[in-house]
Amino acid sequence: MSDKQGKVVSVAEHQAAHAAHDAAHDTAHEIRIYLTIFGALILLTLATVGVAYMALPHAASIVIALLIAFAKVFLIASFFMHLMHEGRLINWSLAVCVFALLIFVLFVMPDLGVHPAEQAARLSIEEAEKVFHEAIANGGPVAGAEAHH
Amino acid sequence: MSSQAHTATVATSTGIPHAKLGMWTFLASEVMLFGGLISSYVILRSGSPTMVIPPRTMMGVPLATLNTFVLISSSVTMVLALAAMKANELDKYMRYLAMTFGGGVIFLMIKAYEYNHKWHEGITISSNLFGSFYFTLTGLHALHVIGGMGIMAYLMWAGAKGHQSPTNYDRVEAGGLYWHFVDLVWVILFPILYLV
Repeated sequence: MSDKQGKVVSVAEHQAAHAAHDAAHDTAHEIRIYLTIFGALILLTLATVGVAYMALPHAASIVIALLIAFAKVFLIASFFMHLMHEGRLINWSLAVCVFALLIFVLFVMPDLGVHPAEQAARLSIEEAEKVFHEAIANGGPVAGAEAHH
Repeated sequence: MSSQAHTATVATSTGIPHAKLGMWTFLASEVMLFGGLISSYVILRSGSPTMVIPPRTMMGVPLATLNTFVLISSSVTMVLALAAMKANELDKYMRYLAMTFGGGVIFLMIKAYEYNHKWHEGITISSNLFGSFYFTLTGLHALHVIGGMGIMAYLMWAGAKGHQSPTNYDRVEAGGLYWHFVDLVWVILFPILYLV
């Protein structure tokens, strides 16, 4: 057979040229994917900051922040770390790892903010801080001290 | 996708190259390290009556956002360096590795400025509970960034010596996995420390 310049080349050389051409396309395709994920990560970062500055109710802002963070983690792990192409061994090992961590967090969280003694402690500290900050803002000694003179 | 040896099996008992399996095992242990610290922070922050969170103006959100961009960009240049090595483009490989290293340098410089700013504001590792967590978490992360920069330096040296090739890039891939993990940890630290 002959190539573009009319030189005679073997079939093997021709196939090697095709393989190299395909490999180059593969690389270009991969790079396009990486750059797309890069764009997505930038947008998600901007979204995280944007949502934080919108005065949403506390619980909603936490949930959204976690969702966006999870999306970014998923993109980095799946595409940059190639987890999408890895087999069961690595993916399942990581799943067990994350599951162990979730046990720690999720089994402790139900105890937060529901015990009366803790709530009382938090409230009294908040009240004390409020009085303190007000006194500082008024630029003088704590309000009660003057009255005792 | 890639038709290269990426998904082909290797002559190990698992079919996965030793460097890759070893690095993933190490990263799993790192998940527990950072996960333990992050979980403790999350739990104490939501439940402790004595955790006082500094206002956002004191935290310096714009600089931390810039740092996030820097680290994400360095992750991209790292994976592009791997792609360049697989495509046998040594000059691109070296250039992208240098950019990844540079990203680490910029990140640490911004972090140093941030730390100084916080110390002047009175937030130190021993000033209060939040300061304790902030400096432990970001300090540990910064140490990992420094370690990652050491790995980049080695990969650049090895590349210059010709140790890497399109059929022998396991160490590049393992180094990349480590660097992506460092980026991943920061992606989690950034919102929980600065934004929530």
